[in-house]
Amino acid sequence: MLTSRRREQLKLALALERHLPTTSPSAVWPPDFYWDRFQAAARRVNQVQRHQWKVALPLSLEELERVGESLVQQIRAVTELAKAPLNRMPKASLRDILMDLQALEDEFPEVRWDRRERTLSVLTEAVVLKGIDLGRFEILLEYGNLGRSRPYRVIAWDPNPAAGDETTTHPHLRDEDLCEGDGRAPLQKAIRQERFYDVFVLINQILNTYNKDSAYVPLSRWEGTTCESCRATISDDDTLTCEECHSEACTECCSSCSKCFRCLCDNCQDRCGSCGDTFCRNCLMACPGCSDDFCSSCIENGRCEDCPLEDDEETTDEEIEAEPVPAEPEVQSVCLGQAFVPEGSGTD
Amino acid sequence: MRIMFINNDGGGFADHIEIPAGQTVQDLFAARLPYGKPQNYLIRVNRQPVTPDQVLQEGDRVSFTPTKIEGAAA
Repeated sequence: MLTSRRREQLKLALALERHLPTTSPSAVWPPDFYWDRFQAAARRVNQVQRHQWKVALPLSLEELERVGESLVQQIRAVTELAKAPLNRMPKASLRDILMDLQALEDEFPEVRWDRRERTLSVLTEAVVLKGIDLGRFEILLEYGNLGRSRPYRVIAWDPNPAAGDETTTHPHLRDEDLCEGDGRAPLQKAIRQERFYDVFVLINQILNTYNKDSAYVPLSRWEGTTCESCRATISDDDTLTCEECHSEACTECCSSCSKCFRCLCDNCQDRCGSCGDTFCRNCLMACPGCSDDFCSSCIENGRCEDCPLEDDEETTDEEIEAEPVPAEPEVQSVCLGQAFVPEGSGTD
Repeated sequence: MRIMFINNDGGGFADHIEIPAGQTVQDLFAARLPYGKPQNYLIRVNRQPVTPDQVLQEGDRVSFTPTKIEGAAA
């Protein structure tokens, strides 16, 4: 006699069987999920550019490049799969599905489903990577969407997200979207071949593996970074690197040089003694008169406006006034009415 | 004899294969993943963990899944 749990499993297995895609396992599945994600990233870039959010622009462009590359890879993978010989593996039978469901109960602490919502999910054990407890995750399969390239989500059950980034709950998980990496090809095959047990096991193995070379936020920064200027704890997204001394600082402590636009921490910034704008030291000149630093717009002939040139450096009216004037003939003021007569010109 | 063999490593493989009668799980692993180490895989027969010396039967479903599968950032 079937237990109530077994009866429910059987009903679920029947529901899953009804929702299996009718197309052949070798049919090409367009990368709709990856295209949707690319579109969302493109909309963000457009929004950032429209509002001229200069700080957000490089981050949004980086994200666009990343999801674009992912889309290209998925298109290539789908194309390769289409070229492969027709998969002779038969579609999953009711028996296969039922055995998958029973095996999931042995593999995971908890298995749940909702036939109304058409979901089947498992709860994993707590995932601990490099000593950081990321909590349990729910791997939720939307079996009503089995024809899509990504019919599942991964939800943090006890979220311990990266510092300052609530959406990144695992180094390879953002917004409930798992980046499958090396698991992409076998996972896509398992989904298309309706091997539900393998789907959940594969996703669980990805969650339990850390790839430090390709993480949304590396675990070394999971709990934040310390700004070397103000000592505050900052998230990965708010961390900037000084282009002068290469230290890490927060957005509050960093400014750009007004001339060369390099990013500078508090210690590497300086101000023009006249206009007060921020510059790096390479873009300031010292006035020999006062020894203060000025930008190129506030210094002229090597001096600031408050430090004129020295006297012996003048070459203007004073020098002109000092030039010798040719002598005029002497007029004998005693003998009025008499004019000067050049020597030798007179007669007796 | 005929079994269902699933290799979830690399690009993935899942199909029926012919194996000699009396082959053990360990023998199959050595034949199919000669450069792999069994301790780096979840080895299941009919979705259950097994010992390496288990003898395979006609119609068994054997799967090898790497324990380490690296994800990525998008």
